[in-house]
Amino acid sequence: MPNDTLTNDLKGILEQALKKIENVNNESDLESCRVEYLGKKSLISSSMKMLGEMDPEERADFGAFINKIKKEISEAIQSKKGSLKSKGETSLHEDDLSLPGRGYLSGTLHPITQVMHDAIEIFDSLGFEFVDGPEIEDEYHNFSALNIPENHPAKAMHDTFYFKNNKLLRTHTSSVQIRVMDKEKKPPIRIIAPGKVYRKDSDVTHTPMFHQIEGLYIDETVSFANLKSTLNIFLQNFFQDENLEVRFRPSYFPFTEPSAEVDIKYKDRNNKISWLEVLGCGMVHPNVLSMAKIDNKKYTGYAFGLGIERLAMLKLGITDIRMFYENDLRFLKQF
Amino acid sequence: MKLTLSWLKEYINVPYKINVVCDHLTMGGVEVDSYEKIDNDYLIDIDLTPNRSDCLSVKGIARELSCLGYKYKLKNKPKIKPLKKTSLKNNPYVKISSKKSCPKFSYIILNNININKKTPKNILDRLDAVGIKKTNIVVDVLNYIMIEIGQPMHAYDLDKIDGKLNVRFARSGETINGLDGSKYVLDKSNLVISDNKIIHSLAGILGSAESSISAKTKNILIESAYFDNNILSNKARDLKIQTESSHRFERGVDFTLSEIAIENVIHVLQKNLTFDKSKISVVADKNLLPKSLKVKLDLNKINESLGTSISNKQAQSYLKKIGCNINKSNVVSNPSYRFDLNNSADYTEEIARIYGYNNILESKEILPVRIPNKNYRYHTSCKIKQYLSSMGFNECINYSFTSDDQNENEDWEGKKFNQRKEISNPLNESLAKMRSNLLGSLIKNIQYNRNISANNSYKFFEISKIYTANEHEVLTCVVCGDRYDEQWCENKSIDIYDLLSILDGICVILKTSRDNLRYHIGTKRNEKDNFHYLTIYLDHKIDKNCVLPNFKFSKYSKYPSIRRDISFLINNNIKYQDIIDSIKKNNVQFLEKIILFDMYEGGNIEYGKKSVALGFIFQANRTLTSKEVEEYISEVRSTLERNYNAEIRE
Repeated sequence: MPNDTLTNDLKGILEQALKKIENVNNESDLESCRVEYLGKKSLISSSMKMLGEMDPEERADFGAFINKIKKEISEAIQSKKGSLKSKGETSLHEDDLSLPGRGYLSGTLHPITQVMHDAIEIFDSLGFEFVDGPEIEDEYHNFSALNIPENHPAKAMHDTFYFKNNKLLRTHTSSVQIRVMDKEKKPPIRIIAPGKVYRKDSDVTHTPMFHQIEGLYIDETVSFANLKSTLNIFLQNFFQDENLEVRFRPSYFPFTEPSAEVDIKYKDRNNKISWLEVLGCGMVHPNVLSMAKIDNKKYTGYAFGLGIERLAMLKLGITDIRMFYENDLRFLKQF
Repeated sequence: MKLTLSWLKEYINVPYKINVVCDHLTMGGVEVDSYEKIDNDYLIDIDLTPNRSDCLSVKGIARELSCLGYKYKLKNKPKIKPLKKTSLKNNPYVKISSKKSCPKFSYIILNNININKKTPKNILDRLDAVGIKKTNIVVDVLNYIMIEIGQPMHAYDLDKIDGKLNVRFARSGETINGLDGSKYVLDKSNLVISDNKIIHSLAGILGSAESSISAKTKNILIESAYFDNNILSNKARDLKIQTESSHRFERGVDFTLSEIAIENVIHVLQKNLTFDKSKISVVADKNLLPKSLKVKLDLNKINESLGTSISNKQAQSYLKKIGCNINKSNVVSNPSYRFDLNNSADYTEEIARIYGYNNILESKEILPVRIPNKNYRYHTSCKIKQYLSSMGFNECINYSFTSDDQNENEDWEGKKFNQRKEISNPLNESLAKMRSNLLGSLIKNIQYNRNISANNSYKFFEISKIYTANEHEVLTCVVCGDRYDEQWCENKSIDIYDLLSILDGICVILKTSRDNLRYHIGTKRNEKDNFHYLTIYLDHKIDKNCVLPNFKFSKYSKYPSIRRDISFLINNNIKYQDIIDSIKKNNVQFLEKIILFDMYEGGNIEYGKKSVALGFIFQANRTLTSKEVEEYISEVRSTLERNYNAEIRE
């Protein structure tokens, strides 16, 4: 290098600058550093001006050298700027623990997911295996195999959505019962089938899509008394209330006999107490067993169906079922 | 089914308060929807299950209460005088072409009737209470008796009938002008009653305008028939009609009521009107009428399935209460009004019902212990959902059917998709086609929220099925706006690289790599927003690989690792993965891991190039020397120079 003194000076400046930048702890000090080392009056700027007076070979070498120094300093300033920023927009003299945090805040899981999960966990602990089934079903699995013949008025209760090829959207998760029994000829069978179901209906208490959990237990000597104890345990756990009052009353489903609807004694927001229906259940109809080629002399079973939205509304105090499907953040963020 | 308490009290003693009576009915299986006070009476609204059509009358409800222990009124209503009956071989008025659908048709003819006489007030009040409009005295009385005993009837203006009434199936395209003012086009499945010219009624559903009773009517034929419920079920619904009559017939009416109903009608009419009447004509085919079924009951089995110990005597008394015959060896037969009782299970329910479901004690042993198989599909979804929510995503659930717009008509990989499954009878047009992706719905969710409240950052996801060739579960994440909700630190626009880190995060959770996932990342733009999205196809392959731990712990070196960095300029069209692949292909010894710690273009970087900075971690089962590492790193350097003409920056 021709100008060794200058070169050494510049090396010294670089070292000094890097140290100073390192120790800066606010943006205005950082700006003065920039002015001091890279500004018009800085040694670097004046050295740049000298380039014009040098011969070409010398100029190239010295130019590269100055540029390197300049770049190192400006990179150091940039990175310091970044680190000052990431500590906070403003530099604080003291830590302020009353500030809100930064970065990702946790999101939320849909209340249906959470309520369904609660229910699935309880049944899991009771030994029920989770099975899936198709939502686009055929008449056989959704109706006829469940003892609901073609012209049955119970079919009208269901308001089914149909496709052109005679397929339909399942109106209940009971269709999964049939698929499980078809597959596993030999009881014991102890399953739950959670999932979406569809009925052509829409108002404050109905949406065209909703969620159910179907339960099925088939074995030798399964009784209505067993059904009652299982569902009582479930409901007491689900509502976290061991004194929950539960009542069973006669009802009608073509695929169970005896059939029952289950009510719980429920206190609403205004402390009004009433019996509210939470699920339907019953002993599997012998016709359903025989259609699934299960020996109905040897085996008995029970089945039940829970409406998840219904349970979620009771548990969470929601009064309009349609809110579940608006996906309004003011709703979602509450859960 | 609505009725008033005072009406019920004509049949049965009611020693309880209204709420108690309603509770008894509900707990007996006849669910009371509501009751309300009207004047000095109560109106009870009953929500009946379709099997209990025997309760679709005041008499039926009274009968039900008697099964529950209520006592019939000894001073019953005045005895109805039986009328003379005839069954002519060649009936002058009625011909049954479809005997199977109409096994019994009773009628009476009333001549010289004064139709303009007012209906008694007590009848009108009761009809009004249960929601039936008044018409004229004859029709009002028919409706009144229908509510009272459960037999729907129809009155024809006899002078408007041309020839015999014929019970037959409609010809396709035939029409009827209903007395409700609508015209209905029929098909071969509709049972009708016609004369020589026109159709006078849709059997058991609705009469016609032409032959309905008018102010000028003088001569009347009253039909009280038994129609097969299978023939009528869903027919009214298909035509979008719902009448008190169709409601009863499609659930089934007691065939023994048809003559009794006429006698009741005449009894009421005679108190208010004068007319000449014929005998009751009954056209019936006994072989086609429902038969009482004999079923042998095994009480042990019944007790076993209920978990009870009901005695034989108790069970017999329950069944007698509901009107069944039962002999000593427990062969039971059902009464005509309980045609829903066909097999042992039906009787089990009756016994349980009268015994009281709530008197059945819960079993002490709940269930035998069993550890269920895990559902890996569900567990994978749960893990992913947990992860996404902790990364700040909000979970949405949308309907499986959507509208027909552009974003919806794509498959999960963003390709045009025109074979979406279409619902024939959708709730409305915007809910008519099954989803082939979740993106369309999630974008709508963001737009919906944006319209009601201004947020700067949206991160939504859903795991649901899509319905293309098969139904299949996918995960879609959609982000829009800033990375974080508004806050006091630097907040950048969120983009596809944020989604790539979500993808990599999911890989970590599922113990897999991008190569083993089927995924798609893209951006939808409109005038206002960029919606970046990530979709992962969730199949059983993932579940098995990731959750079923084929995975085993791998040992790691106890010796320190050594890091060397290289930064280089490279053509900016070369993909990162290609660079990594070619380095890895060279099998550089002890190279454990590569970290990308900087990458940029522009600024003082030559056009067409990008600057890449990589950190190389070397690790062996001993301490590596810097000399060795220098050798290895120079291999990497030469690979980059050789393969990509990379310019190494010192």
